[in-house]
Amino acid sequence: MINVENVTYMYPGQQREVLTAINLIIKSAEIVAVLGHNGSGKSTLAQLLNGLVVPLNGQVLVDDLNTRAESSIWQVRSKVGLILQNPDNQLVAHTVEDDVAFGPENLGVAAAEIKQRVSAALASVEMSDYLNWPPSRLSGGQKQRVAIAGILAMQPKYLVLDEATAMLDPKGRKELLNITLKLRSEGIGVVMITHHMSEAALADRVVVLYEGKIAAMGTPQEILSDVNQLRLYGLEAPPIQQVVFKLRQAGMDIPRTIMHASELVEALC
Amino acid sequence: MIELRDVSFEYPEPDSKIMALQHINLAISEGESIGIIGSSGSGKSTLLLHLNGLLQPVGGEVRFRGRNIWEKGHNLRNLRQEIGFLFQFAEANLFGQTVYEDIAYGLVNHNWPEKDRDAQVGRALELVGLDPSIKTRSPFTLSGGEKRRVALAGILAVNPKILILDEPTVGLDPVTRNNFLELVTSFAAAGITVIVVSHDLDEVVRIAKRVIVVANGQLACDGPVREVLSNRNLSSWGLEPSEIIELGSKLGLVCAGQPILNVTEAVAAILARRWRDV
Repeated sequence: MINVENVTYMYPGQQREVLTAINLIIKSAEIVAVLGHNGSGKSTLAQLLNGLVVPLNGQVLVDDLNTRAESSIWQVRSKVGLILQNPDNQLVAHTVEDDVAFGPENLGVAAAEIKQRVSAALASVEMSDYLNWPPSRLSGGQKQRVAIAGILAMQPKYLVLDEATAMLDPKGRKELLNITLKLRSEGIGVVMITHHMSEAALADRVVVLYEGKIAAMGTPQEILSDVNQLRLYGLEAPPIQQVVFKLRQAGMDIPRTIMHASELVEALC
Repeated sequence: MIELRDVSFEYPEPDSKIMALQHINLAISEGESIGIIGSSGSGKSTLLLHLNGLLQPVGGEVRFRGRNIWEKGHNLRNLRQEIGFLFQFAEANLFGQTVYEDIAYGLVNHNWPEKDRDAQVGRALELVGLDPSIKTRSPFTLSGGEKRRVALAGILAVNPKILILDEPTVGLDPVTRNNFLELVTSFAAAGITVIVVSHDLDEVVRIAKRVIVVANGQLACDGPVREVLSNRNLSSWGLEPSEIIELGSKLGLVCAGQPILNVTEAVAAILARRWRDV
């Protein structure tokens, strides 16, 4: 489990805390979506989770390893994989195989095991057929899947996706979200930072950051259906929730917690 | 205003020839608001780069105000002043020590008289809804939404007639995105020709009256927004209808006899049906 305990963070030279008194637990085999306006502290939280930055106050424990301890920082980073927005910034090698092998090579894993890990990681993201391809030839969604495979080859227990779908087309987004669900079923804990409110609907829990603090936490149904409250946090409910909200305001007796078009169709017919 | 006649393009790949655009014919008139959609790698961005002469076609012609932009003697610098291009994550290209320096960069580049520059920068800031006091600040101290507005102001400062926006709201939070879209919609309403490329079909609905679908380097569909986005072939072009369009299609919701496009139309159509059924 990742345990974020009363964490506060301020960037060097700045006067304002980006994160204040954050308490959060990330478990295995769950997806936690993190929502928040620009500058709310989402990306800083992502970097705190794998020790890229350490808290000013409080602590982050990854399976009881303190991210502040230099002796265990590599263990922390191999346990918590971080995927960023632009896949082009994360792929370094000439072939998909070399790229995925890069992480375990750096960890000093034996060659025979690297081969096994690369093969398993690519199978997990359904990219086995692209072993010898240059990453430059892949679509955005495929590149992000290879980036994830590179992380999986280091056998992480947690994956942090920092707006990883932002640059993908709808097909690429769907591919990546399906992979996320699959990884959860394999026991990986996923933190999904996103501006796409409809992606948060897939999560087990949703956390809303507002001005560096946790403003709300709950199930997607609880958080996404609270249209007025989301607006106060600088967010906007997904379109279906907006329709449900307006229909209920107009006096229609339909459940507030409807999440998808198909559920609304069922409620109306 | 802009016309593509039988335009083809291939990137100079050493080991294979990829035909990024194939025989594109397209005419864009003054004052239009156009959405260009397509899956990743479909050729959308390549098409955009032809519109202001950043790429030269290997076949066909790109014409602006009736002239081939690649013919000898045609001034591409003037063309690029008339056609402003906001790239994805445009704020990454901000480099000035002050916001003023960044916005004035295009004016300097296009040799605008020095006496007019202050007024142009002020006007551009007003257009993007930023306070004039921001001029003296470093762009790096601004929020994501402010930075993107500064980048847009830099383009507007030289009075472009056409605005091309490549995924203009990627990375913006929903409220900042909304404000930015309202801004772009106001330009379109004021008669500036707006061409937007986006993966987000809700965004396209907000801005465009006409939608062009690019698939496999070809122009797959071109028509009014309502018609194109409710087209049953959308998935065969690597696209998916928005949840609202999907809802409308499942419930047979219409607005003035046409498929619905947005939340307001969906709510109105559902309520109208409810009253009719009562």
